[in-house]
Amino acid sequence: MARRIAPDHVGALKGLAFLYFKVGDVQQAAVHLEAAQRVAPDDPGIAQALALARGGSGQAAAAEQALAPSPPPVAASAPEPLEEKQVFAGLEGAHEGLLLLDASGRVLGGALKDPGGARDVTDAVAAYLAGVSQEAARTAKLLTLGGWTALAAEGKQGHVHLTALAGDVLLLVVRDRSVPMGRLAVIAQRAAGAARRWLEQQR
Amino acid sequence: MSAAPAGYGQALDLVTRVRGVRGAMLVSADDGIVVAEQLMEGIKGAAVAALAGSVASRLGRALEAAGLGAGVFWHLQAEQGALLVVGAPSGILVVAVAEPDVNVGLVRLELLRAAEVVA
Repeated sequence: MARRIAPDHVGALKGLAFLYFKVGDVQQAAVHLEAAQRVAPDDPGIAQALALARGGSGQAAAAEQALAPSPPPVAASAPEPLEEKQVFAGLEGAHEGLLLLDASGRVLGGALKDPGGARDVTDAVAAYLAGVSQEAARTAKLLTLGGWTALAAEGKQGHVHLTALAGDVLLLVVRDRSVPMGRLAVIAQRAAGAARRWLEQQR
Repeated sequence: MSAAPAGYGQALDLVTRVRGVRGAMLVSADDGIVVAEQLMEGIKGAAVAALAGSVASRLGRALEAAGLGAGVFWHLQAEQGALLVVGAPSGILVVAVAEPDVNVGLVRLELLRAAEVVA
């Protein structure tokens, strides 16, 4: 239905390619990936899946994985996270709710734990946020809103605040619902200052 | 395409009547397709809907991964304006495009009311 209403919808084209891989029709998957690439030539996921599809049926499983809805884990190839005390020293929640990452979802500093404090969710959250800055930038550009500065989200059990720092670096601040979103923005502003100073020192 | 149900227009009216809101859309969360829209001229609704749906989906997954539950409200802040989104239980996203000095709290409330209308 989505393809009929919007034949150039990248998400629908990628979804169809994924389904064709699933049923073993690599040729049709490649056709849909080529159509998706015409619409979004800069999408690295499409390019990767297309290259694998053109590599023959032996690469189909890898191409299918490249298109899968869940993002691939990035922790294995990511550099070792820096100790959070180096980046967020003295800031509230530095050990469990502040994260510095690049646009590819690689962790630069900080850490995240779930609301119970028992589980480290750093790598999972970073992986899901990979690509968000690119999409936020495209959305703001389409709306002629200038550059994007922050992205806040309210969940049923807590909030997140993502700040765009220099050089495609992102700062994520996470708190439970007891911290209002306005206060979260203030915390994020302070943390962004600390992160910018730390990034300057690294250059 | 068939005309949008009257409730959709009512939902959009709730949002666009707020001072500083440049337009509003109802978007299918699953595929980023526009369901109904009231946008100022020049805004590419279909493209914005697709990207807004994608950003909301990624943030929603990040919230779930962080153990924070389902996403309720998203706010993209930019130098010259903002995009605000609320998810309705029906799988529709209510999206507002606003000026930078808009009353975010008021837009959020109206988006939540609009989400109830389309629920």
